[in-house]
Amino acid sequence: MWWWTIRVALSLVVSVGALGLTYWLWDGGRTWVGPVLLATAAGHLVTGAVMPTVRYRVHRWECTDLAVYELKGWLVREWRIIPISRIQSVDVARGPVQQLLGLATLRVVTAAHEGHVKIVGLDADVVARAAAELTALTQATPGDAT
Amino acid sequence: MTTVDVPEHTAPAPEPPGDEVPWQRLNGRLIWVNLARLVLSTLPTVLSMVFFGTGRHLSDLWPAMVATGIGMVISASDVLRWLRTRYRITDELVEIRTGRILRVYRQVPRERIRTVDHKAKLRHRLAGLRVVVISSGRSRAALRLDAVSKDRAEALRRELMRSAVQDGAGAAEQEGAGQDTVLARARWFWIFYNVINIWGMLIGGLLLWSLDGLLDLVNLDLIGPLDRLIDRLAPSRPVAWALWAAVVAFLGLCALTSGFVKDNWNFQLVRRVKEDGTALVTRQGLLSTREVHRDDRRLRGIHLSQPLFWRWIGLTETSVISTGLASWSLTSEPASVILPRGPAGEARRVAGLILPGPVRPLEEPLRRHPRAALYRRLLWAAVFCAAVCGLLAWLGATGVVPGWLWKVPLWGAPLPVLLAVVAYRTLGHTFAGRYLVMRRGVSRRETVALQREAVLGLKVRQTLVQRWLGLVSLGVPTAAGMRYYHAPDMTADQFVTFAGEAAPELLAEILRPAAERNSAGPGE
Repeated sequence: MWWWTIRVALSLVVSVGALGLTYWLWDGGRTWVGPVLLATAAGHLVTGAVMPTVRYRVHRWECTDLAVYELKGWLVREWRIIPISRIQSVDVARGPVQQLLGLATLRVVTAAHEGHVKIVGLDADVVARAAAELTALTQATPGDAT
Repeated sequence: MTTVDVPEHTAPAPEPPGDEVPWQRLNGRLIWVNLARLVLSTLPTVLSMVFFGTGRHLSDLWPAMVATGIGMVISASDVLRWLRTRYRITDELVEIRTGRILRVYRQVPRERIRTVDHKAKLRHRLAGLRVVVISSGRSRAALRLDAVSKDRAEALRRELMRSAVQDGAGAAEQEGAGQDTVLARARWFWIFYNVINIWGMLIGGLLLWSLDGLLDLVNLDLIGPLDRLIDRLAPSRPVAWALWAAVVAFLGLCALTSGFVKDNWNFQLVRRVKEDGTALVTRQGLLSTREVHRDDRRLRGIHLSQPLFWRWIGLTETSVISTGLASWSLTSEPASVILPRGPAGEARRVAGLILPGPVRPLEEPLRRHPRAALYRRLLWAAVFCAAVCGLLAWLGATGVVPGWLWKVPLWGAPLPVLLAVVAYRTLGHTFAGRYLVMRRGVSRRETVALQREAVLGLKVRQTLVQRWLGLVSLGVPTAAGMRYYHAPDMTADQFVTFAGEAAPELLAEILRPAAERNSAGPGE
């Protein structure tokens, strides 16, 4: 949850900072930069207040012997299901913020780009264990439908 | 990674086992081809010097000299390429060393080879040569052998395609191989389907401009007399404009017609029985021929696409959904296209012949999507209009654009509404035999029939508005074709049925997320 909050905060700092700088330095553009600046700031504040909680409550994932399931989304709900037999590889990725918070991302890759499952913000130990289990399961199941 | 590019001086090329196989050169006739090209490339300069007498001023001559210079450089570098290219085929790999300046070593493991095609430009055909293109599962062609002799090309294709699957097996059934069944031929009236094109005017304009530039080289004026002629014929200014448009359109039409005839002359779609199964083969071309093989075991479905503006004459583009074939290409028709644009009935007939089994998935009646899908599209149309109005009103208020401009989208509002209705009427899906059939699209009506075995998973989406209207979008990623096909806006019941048909082995487990969704969505 804090991970999303931090990401919103970073995005707020970058975009509002850039727009604010434009507003301050470029006199001629103030008529239209002003409203855009206000809208961006307001949008980020609302997102920062609501989004992390909603996401934390909505996001679910599960690995069974048959498939990997994932439910995610805030404004757009998305369910993804990948049968174990279609998995091509399993990755674990950790960004700088995730390392700080002891989190990791589990990525399940299939032969189609749209078929990936990316489960973000999990406890690093859980991800490591899940990745090991999935790898073992995948190796035991033949075929990847390519 | 199936291909490895290693500049040789940075990393020595790995020498896998099989060193005894000798490296081979490309065909020596390439040298003669390039000599002929060299002579041809001096023609513009010589001609314009001798016959048209512009040689008096050296400055007038530069375009012809540039053309000659480019031709000479190309010929010389092609000879250099011939000198420095070697290739060999071992038991595991196809290897090539090439590169004019930078030495490049490239290899493809033989079991990764998906298709082997040959092409020929006019100069290749005159010399009896062929370009062999070897592609692996990636979207770009992996290796090009430009050029080898015709017989050698056919032998290479045979050898690589046979062993690409299994070794052995071939020799015994050799006599059964090479049998062709013609599935479709181009008809002459298909020209009309292929030359009506939005780009016709643009091509015509470019052609006129470049023709004018070319004739300018030899001191002939094209635009001037044409302009005077049109002025004399046309009584008023609008008529003159219309005449100009007609000239440009006519030129574009000529260019497109000749292009179509050149590319699709003697077009044939053939099912060829080979040693190890069957393949779909297209042969086409007047000056440069092109022959593309598509292995039937990699076939996953059929994709029909009908542009909105030409749907009333039933114009249809047909392509196969297949793994290991590029479905998008900038320079030429992608290899997945199996028919030129033609009538819908013909496309359906060919689709029925191509897909194995008695089912004709593309002729099955489709399940309609709920009324709510129409409401969602109408809502989008309204929001789009309102957004454009709002933006223009704001810009008008700040004085960037004229103040009356915000009313324009209101007058144009029927157009998005009409498109929304069109989009809704296009929606449909069904399940027939072992094929998922999905139809959608506004500017193009895309109908897809995809084998159930090719489905790599499920992706279900629901936006806030969809949740409110009780709609679900289902997407199926696959390894073939466009990699992702989806059927937007079905009801929850339709979704459960369709998903169960798409991935029956997951049905029991799918019902759990479905139930979760039912409890989560307030629209249920």
